[in-house]
Amino acid sequence: MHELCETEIDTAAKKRKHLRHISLSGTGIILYALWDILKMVTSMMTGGVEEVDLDLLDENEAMIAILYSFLFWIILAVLTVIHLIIGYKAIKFGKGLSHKSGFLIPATILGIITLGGMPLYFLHHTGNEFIDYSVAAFIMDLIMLVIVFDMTVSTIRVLKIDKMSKEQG
Amino acid sequence: MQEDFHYYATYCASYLAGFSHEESLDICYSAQFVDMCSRTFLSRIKAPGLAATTQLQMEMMDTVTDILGIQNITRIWASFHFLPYDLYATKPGTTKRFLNKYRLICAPNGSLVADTVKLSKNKTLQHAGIAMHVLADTWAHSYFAGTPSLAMNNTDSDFYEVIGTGDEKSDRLIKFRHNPSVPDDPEKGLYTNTIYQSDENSIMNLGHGRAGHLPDYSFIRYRYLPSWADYREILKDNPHDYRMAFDQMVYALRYLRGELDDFVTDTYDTEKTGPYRERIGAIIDKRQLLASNDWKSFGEELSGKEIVDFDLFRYQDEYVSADKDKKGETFLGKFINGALEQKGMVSKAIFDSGNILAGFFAPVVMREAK
Repeated sequence: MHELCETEIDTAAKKRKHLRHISLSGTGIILYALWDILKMVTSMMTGGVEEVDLDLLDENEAMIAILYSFLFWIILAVLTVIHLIIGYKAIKFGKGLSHKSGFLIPATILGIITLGGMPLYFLHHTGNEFIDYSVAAFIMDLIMLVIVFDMTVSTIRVLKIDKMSKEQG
Repeated sequence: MQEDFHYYATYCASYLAGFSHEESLDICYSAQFVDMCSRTFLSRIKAPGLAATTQLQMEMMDTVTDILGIQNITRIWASFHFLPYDLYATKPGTTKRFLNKYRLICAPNGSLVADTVKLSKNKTLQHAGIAMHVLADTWAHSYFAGTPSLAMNNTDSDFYEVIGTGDEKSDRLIKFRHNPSVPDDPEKGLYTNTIYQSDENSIMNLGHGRAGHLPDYSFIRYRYLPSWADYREILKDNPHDYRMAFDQMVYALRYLRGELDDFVTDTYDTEKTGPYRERIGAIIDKRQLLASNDWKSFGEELSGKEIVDFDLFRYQDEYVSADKDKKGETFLGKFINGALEQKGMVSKAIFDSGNILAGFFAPVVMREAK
């Protein structure tokens, strides 16, 4: 059997480490998706989401409000599902059950969206009663960004190692 | 290691090294007794608790892992079951706190092994037995530390048994469960280990608990990721290690008997064991949780005499009924002296290396009696 040299052992250890990071990041993204749902639900329960009294609107305006509300929940559901799929695929990749790294693209897009939405916590909710919520949500989003960044870097490194191994035969 | 090696295999090694049947029994009894001599046992016979060479599960459950508790645990387990390989090991980018535990990692052929064997020279058979237990455990318990530490002793689910050799080698995932009442099942790859505890100093993170009894099974080869190894994989080849342990024990015992002038690490007696290579290999390679019967048969064939089974209470009455000033001359008295010397030697070596995990030592000035 081929005996591994020191460099090969180091490379194997590095790859193992990065795969672990990817798997852990995948779990983090799934947990973030659950946090998102929790955030939304608690926000609604504590008055963080503006409610519209449909009785004060005419028929057209009420239809539009309902449609917006419906779209909002659809988009939230879709984003949650995307998070879950990214997390699942990252975990599969990290455990060596898949070699497809396509999950990086939607992960990066989500990361950019998250980054873009972070200032809104402090612009949209300006009252003192929302500061706890804003800080908590900001921190969670920051963690999400770190997770996505770590996952991206680790995946790139794994792909590099695999490419080098293939070239060396 | 277990009774099969500490008792019966040590008997075989002693006999091959030239000790008589009776001497071999004393040596192997002492070697096995290291796994049984707890504070609870010693308090029952009113012997010094400081001489404890092991801790029962109930004792460990009651232990608080503050610094004093950790020092007490480390003194016992590092001195008798996880002899440190290199008390001055270095690892870049680590703190002193990490290094203190890293330096307690056990492996064979460290300088403390030679110190342990030489400490027993010209002493009693009980001393020799203790030394053989410690020496044998350095092979089985390699890569684990005798101190509670998640950072040193943790493993994870990436644990595979290596089955077969050469081109027919294959890996099988080892499944761990936490049910100590159910015996391990080598055929299905089901083994018991300790529960994961995130607390660094949890007693669950002592020694090889996270790998279950795998280090104590002579037949098994496995690869896993120790938490200290930075994602490097370790291949533990127990059949190879147990053979080496046996050969080294024979060599050490020949030295202790006076046949050899010196004990040097990384030296093995293949001359005495050579004729029995296949027989020993067959015992070690057989897939069984306890090889006592096979080792016993081998030992009885060597000596032509019966090897009595280990009895924890065999020498208890002798010690209890002896006068206070004669206790040191009893079997257990000699064992206690040997245990105290071994524990003192190792604990002091750990302290001298700048590591307080085994306690503090100060020079004692003996004043003349007025």
